[in-house]
Amino acid sequence: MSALPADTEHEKHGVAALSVLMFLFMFVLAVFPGLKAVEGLTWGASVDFHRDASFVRAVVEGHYGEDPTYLGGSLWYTPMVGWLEALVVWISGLSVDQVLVQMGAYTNLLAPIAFFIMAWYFFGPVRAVVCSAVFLFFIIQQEPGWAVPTYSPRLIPVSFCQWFLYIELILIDRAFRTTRIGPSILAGAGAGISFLAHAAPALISVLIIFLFTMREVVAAVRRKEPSTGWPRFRASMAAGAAFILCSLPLTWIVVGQYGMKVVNRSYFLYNYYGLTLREAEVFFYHNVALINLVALAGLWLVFRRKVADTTGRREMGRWLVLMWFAIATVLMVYSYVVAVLDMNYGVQLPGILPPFHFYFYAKAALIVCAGLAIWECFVWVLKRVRPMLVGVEPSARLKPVVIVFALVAIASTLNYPSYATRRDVFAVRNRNLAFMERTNDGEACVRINAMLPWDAVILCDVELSIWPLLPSARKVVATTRTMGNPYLDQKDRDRDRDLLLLGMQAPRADTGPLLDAYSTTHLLVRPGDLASMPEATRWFPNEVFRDEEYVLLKR
Amino acid sequence: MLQAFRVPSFVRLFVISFVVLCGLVLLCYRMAWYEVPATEVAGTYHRASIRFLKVDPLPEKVELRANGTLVLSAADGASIYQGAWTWDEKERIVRVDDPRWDRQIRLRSTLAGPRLSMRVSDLPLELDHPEHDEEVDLVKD
Repeated sequence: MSALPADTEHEKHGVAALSVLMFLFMFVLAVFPGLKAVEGLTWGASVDFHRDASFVRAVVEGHYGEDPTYLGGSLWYTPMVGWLEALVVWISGLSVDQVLVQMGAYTNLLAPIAFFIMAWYFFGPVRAVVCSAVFLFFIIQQEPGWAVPTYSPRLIPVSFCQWFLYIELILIDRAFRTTRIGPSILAGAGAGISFLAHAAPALISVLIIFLFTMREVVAAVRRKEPSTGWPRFRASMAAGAAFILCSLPLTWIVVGQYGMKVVNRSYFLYNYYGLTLREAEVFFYHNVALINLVALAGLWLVFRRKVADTTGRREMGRWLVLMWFAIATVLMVYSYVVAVLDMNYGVQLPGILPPFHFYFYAKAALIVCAGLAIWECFVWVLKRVRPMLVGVEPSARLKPVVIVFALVAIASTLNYPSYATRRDVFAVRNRNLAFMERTNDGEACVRINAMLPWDAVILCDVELSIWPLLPSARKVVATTRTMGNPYLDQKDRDRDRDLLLLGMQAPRADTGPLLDAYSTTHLLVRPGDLASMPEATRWFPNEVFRDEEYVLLKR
Repeated sequence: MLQAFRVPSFVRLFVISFVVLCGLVLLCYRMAWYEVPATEVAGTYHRASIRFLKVDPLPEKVELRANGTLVLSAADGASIYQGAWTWDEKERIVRVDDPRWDRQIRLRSTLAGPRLSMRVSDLPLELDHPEHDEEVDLVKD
């Protein structure tokens, strides 16, 4: 070590090179379980996969913009993940479901890469390494991967789309360093593209841009120079325009066609069980952990300590982390209140998303805080052991950096066996395997998709509407409420589906008109159900398909 | 960044770091994934204590007998389940004919070696859409 280059500039470059090496080390370690988790899978068991498969099939079958579940409905779900999956299906020739269940192990690698880039950009390479170690190995523990920001091998929007926010934070910083319109347009476009992928990172980005704009405009007014706030306001308006333009593939439909009027509120009333009061013990089980304590200490440090660096990036990063955490927390609490008031008291406040999406992003901000706290703690100890380092920035010196990287490497290695075989990877894999085993590799869904035309409408109970119908992208009278189009009335559909199923058991006057009202073409039941449905063969006399689990009849 | 490689002492440090980290990757891989045969899994286990989670309805004692019989017993000794078990060595999971207990016990790696753990939720794995996959460790007697 004594022969290390004395030149500070060389040391900085050396620190950067070692940081990249350390990140690659952690990255490779994270990739192994991700790849093992999806190895050999052809179907995913998650309802989210079924929903996504329906939208991918809509694209693949040339019906982009249409609701794959309700006849006559339009696209309502953020489409970017579906586009990506459809593109890979098209290029690879693999089945939709195989692409869905395997692709996440590769695409979701963008999350740690973007996180590392973001942390490096704002806080430098050494802190980025420490933050990335927390992001990859220490925050997840035994929580579900979709509830915690980390690398999780499932291609579901919440896990995949986090990288948009991390990159967007850099774009926001660049936009607010100048009042030129170009960087603001880029930041607005980034938020708009994020919105196509997932609403949560887009909403957080838009609110950060809004609050930063307000801060600068209000400051200008307070200085009694309101005109100086105008260039900022103009640039932010340009960002808003870029956001609207880039989000048009979705907003054109949900705003233009549906007027953003949410009728079926079930989607955002859903909650992660670990965030419910009923299962509060699960929340404590996952969150009473040393890393969360460190993260809170880090949050306090970030809140209290202004950073004076020549570039101003760390100070901006500090502000961004605080604002990101505050916005995510406020939105989480608000979404939680919306769900509680609606479900318990019938009070309907405007909903946004399920609260766990914002819990996810609040935790992401806390990861940065935890990484910063660990680094600060190391520096504090170092300066007591080596007083000559007082006044020196240790992150620019090779010797302390090598020490902290060695500690990170040792901690990651010691934690690795538990991490690599965590539930998020192997319980999920086993659920997928069990699903593949039970459904004979999704046979019923594949056959329904192959045999029925795009506009076929099937009457069935809720359970069958999820499997095998939902991923088949064939229409249904009523699906489960959380997977139904939020802009179409679900209550009427639920009621009519129940009436129609009663109409299969005994003659009813409303059966014919209701079947016609929904353009119903098929009935899907279990073989055992048919005995209690004497009217079924009267309305649906033709058997299309039968196996041990399902019978499909046609009108 | 590449300028750093002009300094021989840094190149030496980088190469050493690279070699050490590669070694750690290999070590991590070996610590996480290794074969555990059924004979090693067989044995009598009791449920470890766990903070916060409600695990009382779960079996207190798990016997994975070498003859292929699984016996689950409550704390008072009452039998909860008895049936055949097999070990899926590749997936490191206990397979049982009854869906309630199938894929509920799996092996995970820890720093201290392999450890069996049991799902806390009583829902069969595949039907548990919210994914209540919290687990409690099983300690070999």
